[in-house]
Amino acid sequence: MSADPSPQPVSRRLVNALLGLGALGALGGMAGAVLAYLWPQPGQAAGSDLLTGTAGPLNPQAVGEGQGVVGRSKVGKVLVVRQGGEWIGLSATCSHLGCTVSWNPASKQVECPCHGARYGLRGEVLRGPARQALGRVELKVDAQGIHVAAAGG
Amino acid sequence: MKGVQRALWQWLDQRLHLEPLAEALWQNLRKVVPPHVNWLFTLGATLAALLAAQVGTGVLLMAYYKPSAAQAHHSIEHLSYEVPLGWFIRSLHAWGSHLIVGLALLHLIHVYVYGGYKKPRELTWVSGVLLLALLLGFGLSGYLLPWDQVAYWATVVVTQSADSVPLAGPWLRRFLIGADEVSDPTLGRFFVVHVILLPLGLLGLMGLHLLLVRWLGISPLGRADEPAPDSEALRQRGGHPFVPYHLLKDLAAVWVGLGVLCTLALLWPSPVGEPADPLVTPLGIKPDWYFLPPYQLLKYVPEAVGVLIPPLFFLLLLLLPFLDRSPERHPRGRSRAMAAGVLVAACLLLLGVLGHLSETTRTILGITYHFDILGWPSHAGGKAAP
Amino acid sequence: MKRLWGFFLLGPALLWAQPPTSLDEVFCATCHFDQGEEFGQSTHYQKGQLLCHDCHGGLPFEANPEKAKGPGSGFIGRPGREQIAALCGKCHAAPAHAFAQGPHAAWQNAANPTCISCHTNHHVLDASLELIDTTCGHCHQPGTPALARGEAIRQQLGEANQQHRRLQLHTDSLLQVDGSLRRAVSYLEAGAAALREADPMTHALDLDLLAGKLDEARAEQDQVKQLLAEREVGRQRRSWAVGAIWVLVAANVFLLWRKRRQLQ
Repeated sequence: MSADPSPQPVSRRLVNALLGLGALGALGGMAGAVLAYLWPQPGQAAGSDLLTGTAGPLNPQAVGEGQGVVGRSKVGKVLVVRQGGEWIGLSATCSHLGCTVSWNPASKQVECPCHGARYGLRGEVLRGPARQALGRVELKVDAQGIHVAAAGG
Repeated sequence: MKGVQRALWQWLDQRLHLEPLAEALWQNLRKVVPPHVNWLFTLGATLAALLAAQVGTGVLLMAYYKPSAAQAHHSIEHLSYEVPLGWFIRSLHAWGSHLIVGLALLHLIHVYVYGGYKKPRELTWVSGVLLLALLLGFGLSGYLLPWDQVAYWATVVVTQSADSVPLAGPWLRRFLIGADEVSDPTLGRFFVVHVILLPLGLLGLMGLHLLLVRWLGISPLGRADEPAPDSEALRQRGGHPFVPYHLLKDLAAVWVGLGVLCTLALLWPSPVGEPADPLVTPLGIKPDWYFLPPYQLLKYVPEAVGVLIPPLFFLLLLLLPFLDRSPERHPRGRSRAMAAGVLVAACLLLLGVLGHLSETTRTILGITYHFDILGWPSHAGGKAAP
Repeated sequence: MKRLWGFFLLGPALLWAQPPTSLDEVFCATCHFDQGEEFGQSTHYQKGQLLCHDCHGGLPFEANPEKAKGPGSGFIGRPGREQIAALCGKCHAAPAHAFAQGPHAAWQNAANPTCISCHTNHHVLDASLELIDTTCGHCHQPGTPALARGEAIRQQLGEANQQHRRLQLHTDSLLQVDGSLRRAVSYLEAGAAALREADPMTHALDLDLLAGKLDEARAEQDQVKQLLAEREVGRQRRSWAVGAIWVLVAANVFLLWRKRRQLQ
């Protein structure tokens, strides 16, 4: 770009283009920064293989015989039921529309409060509107708490 | 591309009759600006850009900030250490506040020197002074939000002075704070003020201010009782239309201003301070630099008087166009006004420096001085400060 | 280093908040003058504000020696070898506990030291790394594995403390100008606490035990070093960013100037 007194249209277009580029670059940089800043971060229990409640890892001793509890883990929300001395793990997300199910010790069924779906302890659907069974989750209980393995079928 | 633009414009114009408006706007933008307008006159545009950045970063900060005494500090920690670029957004916002107040004061001085407040621009000046008051309000309310030791105790110090207002002082202070001492209710109301009340005011006043500046044009340097030179006369004296000449200058100034802001935020990021502890007052707490002059003043005069001087000063500033009726704009023809301005600026600067030095020990040219609460120095021995 | 150990000794002293009783008021020193003089110079007296009876029993303000040392006064006289560790351990529980686990603990073996063998009685020597240098050699020949172990312990402790001190100084000086390092303070405090716990552990003369505790301290120090490294990397990146920004600003200002020239 030479500084001649009567600039050619090419030079004018070039300057305009570069100016536009500069402005776009700055705006793009700002947009990128804002996106990175607002990008959703993984939650606290996302990497944990220990089932966590609201106040830290779930304590297996707090779950009595015939009772159930829901916790978070790296495979999502898991319902844990202690039945007949065994620890049963099921995905706690209702297959209908995604509400969190819970264990009813009186009826001995997994119940969803949103639309009344019912599941058995093997995850099978006992009553709709759910159609798909709940996935089984392999559990391992030790002194640290309740560990989840990979989610099963 | 041009065809699409034209089609869009026609669609809007058919419904909103924008053509006469656009024409009037274009005529206004093409008005010739007086030739004396130099780079100082870009301060307004730079301020506007910095304020836009401040609003932008403020909105972003609100995505993570929690305005409660129990959570505020922790949310700032999370923001600074864990959120990507959180430290940068926060530093931009903090440095932005300092730059804005500083540039606003420069802008005020500049308009004062060039007589831009005289007829017919009195309302522009009034809206500008009100804007300055708003900016100081932003600084006061925003400073508390991180809820760290400095924020907490500086707020205690600044609100303490409200106590000294005659008659209603203690009640006024309790109303400002929302409790008997700075605590969670204070944070709640400072947050509301900072995040919605002042921004609404800012929007309104800035809109008015910009509208008036555009409508009335930049003031010429002639007398206010003489007719203003028209565009042709200004062009002959060497002036240029606002668009594109001065607009390009404004844009260049905006680039530099934002560059300075980013540099400050990158090289000196805001640290996370100690969480506020209402039971422990740290040493050497002072308000932020723009509050130092009234803070220091209160140490020299009785508090009941001292607390009324800043509002009085503000009132005088506000009424300046009505108190100074001289039609002369050029600084050379206003020696008394210039002298008064220099005096006021010098007093404010002196008070600010005294405020900064007070209750500190510094070594200047090898000799250690201790500055007492009034800012008077005394020898503190040759060795480093205890 | 001395400060760390001194802090440990000061602990019990904080329970007594009065000036020390002058030894002139204590009748034991009337006869046992030499011991009284030695004791008067020790930390136990000056900072711990102990008196003769705190270790020997008896009644220090009773002028009549029969009554002061008689039955019912709790007087134990010169403590026997088997009593010393328990006596010192009444206040210095951690070192005594570690000592009891170490090779020197069998008091029946007269070749083994007791607390006072290294720390002396009356004019008790402050615990310090230098003490290891001067006392191990009293019994152990140079070149023996026992002396080598003592030297290894002394070296490891010394190194760990020196590293900590250097890190502390460095971080403190940076904290003056960069408040973002505040997180490092909690790690440094945890590291210092681990080192304080390591000091009495030396009495167990167990390298593995000590290594475990020193590893704890080192883990905290590593956290601090990581923070410092992150800060350094961050500063470099930010400096580059500043450079890039001003290149961008200069380019655009230049372009705007060219535009203005074009429009003239």
